[in-house]
Amino acid sequence: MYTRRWAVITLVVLLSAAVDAKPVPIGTVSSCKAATIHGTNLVPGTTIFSGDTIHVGAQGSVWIAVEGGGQVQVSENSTVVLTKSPDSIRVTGDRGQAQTNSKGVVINSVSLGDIRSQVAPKWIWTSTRTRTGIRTGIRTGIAKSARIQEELDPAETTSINRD
Amino acid sequence: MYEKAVQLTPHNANYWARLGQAYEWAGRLEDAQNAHEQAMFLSPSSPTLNWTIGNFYLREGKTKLALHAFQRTVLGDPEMGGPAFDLAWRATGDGELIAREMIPADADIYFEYLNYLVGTERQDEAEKVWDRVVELGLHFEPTQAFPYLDALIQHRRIDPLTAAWSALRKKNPSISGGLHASLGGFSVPVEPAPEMREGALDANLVTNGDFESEILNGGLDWRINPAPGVIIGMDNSIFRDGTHSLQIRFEGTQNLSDALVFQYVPVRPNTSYRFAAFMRAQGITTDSGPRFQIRDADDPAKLFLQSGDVVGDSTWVRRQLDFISGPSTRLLEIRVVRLASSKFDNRIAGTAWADQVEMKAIESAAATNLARGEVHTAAR
Repeated sequence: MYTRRWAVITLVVLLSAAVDAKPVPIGTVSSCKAATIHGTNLVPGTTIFSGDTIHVGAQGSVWIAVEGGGQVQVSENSTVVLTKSPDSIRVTGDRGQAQTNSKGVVINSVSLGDIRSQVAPKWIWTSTRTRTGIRTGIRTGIAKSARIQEELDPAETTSINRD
Repeated sequence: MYEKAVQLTPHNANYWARLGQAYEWAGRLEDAQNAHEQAMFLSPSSPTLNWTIGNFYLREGKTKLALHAFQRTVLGDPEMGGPAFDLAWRATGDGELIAREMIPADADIYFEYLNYLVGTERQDEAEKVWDRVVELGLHFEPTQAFPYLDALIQHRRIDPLTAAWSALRKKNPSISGGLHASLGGFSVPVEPAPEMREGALDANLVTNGDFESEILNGGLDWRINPAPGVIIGMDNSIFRDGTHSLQIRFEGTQNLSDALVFQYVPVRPNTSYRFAAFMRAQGITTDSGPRFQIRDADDPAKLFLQSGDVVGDSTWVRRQLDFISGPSTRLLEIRVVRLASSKFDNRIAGTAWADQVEMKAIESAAATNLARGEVHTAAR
């Protein structure tokens, strides 16, 4: 009896949470050049929500004023995803370079400096094997060096975090 | 600093907006809203200020107010359409809300929004917005609808495609033939055109088959495939009927092997059709002249037919192809093509004309030389 009641209550809570799920704003574009958000040209004043992907092309840049103060700069030839976690704003890079002067921002995949000159980054690899036997590796972290990436064998690793 | 600025120049809307931003960064949200609204009071139609306050409202969760501000933004600066539509979608994910609260009854903005939806693969929403464009009776040029029609073609949304083309023809009576050739009326949006329903046999399914109207290069009208060594246009001195024909002039510089002109034609599956057209030639060189092809737009292996070509000099000759559409065929391509010649002297020169291009559904019993899913070449 109680189990069923709790199940119903849990379901209602989950459903209401899903209905109320709204994008969480995490900042505003202060200035930008040659940048897009989900393929649309970025303009100053645009609100950035958690989960947004920003792509900066050649000779471009984006400055984002983030909640809690401070700025994130995404440099040319970069692609980053910004997400809000309970205690910070995370900037996860697929490629390129990002910097911040905000203590509330954590930059995951792209380092504070130029990724090409970095010697102490890290890679996180995940790998899967599909039905057809095709192996796919997804990079979710940052490279310490290109050589570390080569040392890992994604085929034998489901999740490796090399610090 | 901005507090001082608005004290000194209280009628400067930009200072109020900057003050609003400063208050927001400082966490004084009520003061921020008051400052932004003072800026809007001073300059209510400024696209920049509307964009600023719209973003502020979004961050504060006041979605409707934000969408109204974005409407004023795009009305004041149409180039802000893309960023504003994208932001509205990221913030709400609600197409109905955006269409209702943000998109003004302005054809240019509607089509800007339609193009955005097509570009972001929101096809269902695009169809709803198109219906709204038709419902509102907005004035627009046919070419504005072509990206939407191309998306319908690309996604093989045949019924919405025929309905959209019918609506376009209703608004632009200069578009001749094709689907509504025998109609004076107007079909309700999203319904297939009457010619596409069972039993409609008389209508010419080819748009502008008599070439009496300008070639629109899009939608379900003819499209010219530009190629070196050939000039394609209308001719008002030589024609089979009316006052114009299609003229294809080969310059003798290329061994062409491609479609020169084509159009998409929606059809019903498992239905008998008769295609007929007139061609004429003057000084067409080589052993391969222009000819008509009909093929399934999805997969030519399912349906592919071609007529005999015209070479040398000829008066108007009729080309006819009878066929049954396949069980899954919904869209055909009618093409004027020239196949490459394998001879040493293969650079085609001369002029060809086409006129009175028709395709109609016919009773199966009336069809002769029926072809289904195979190459069929009509006798010269």
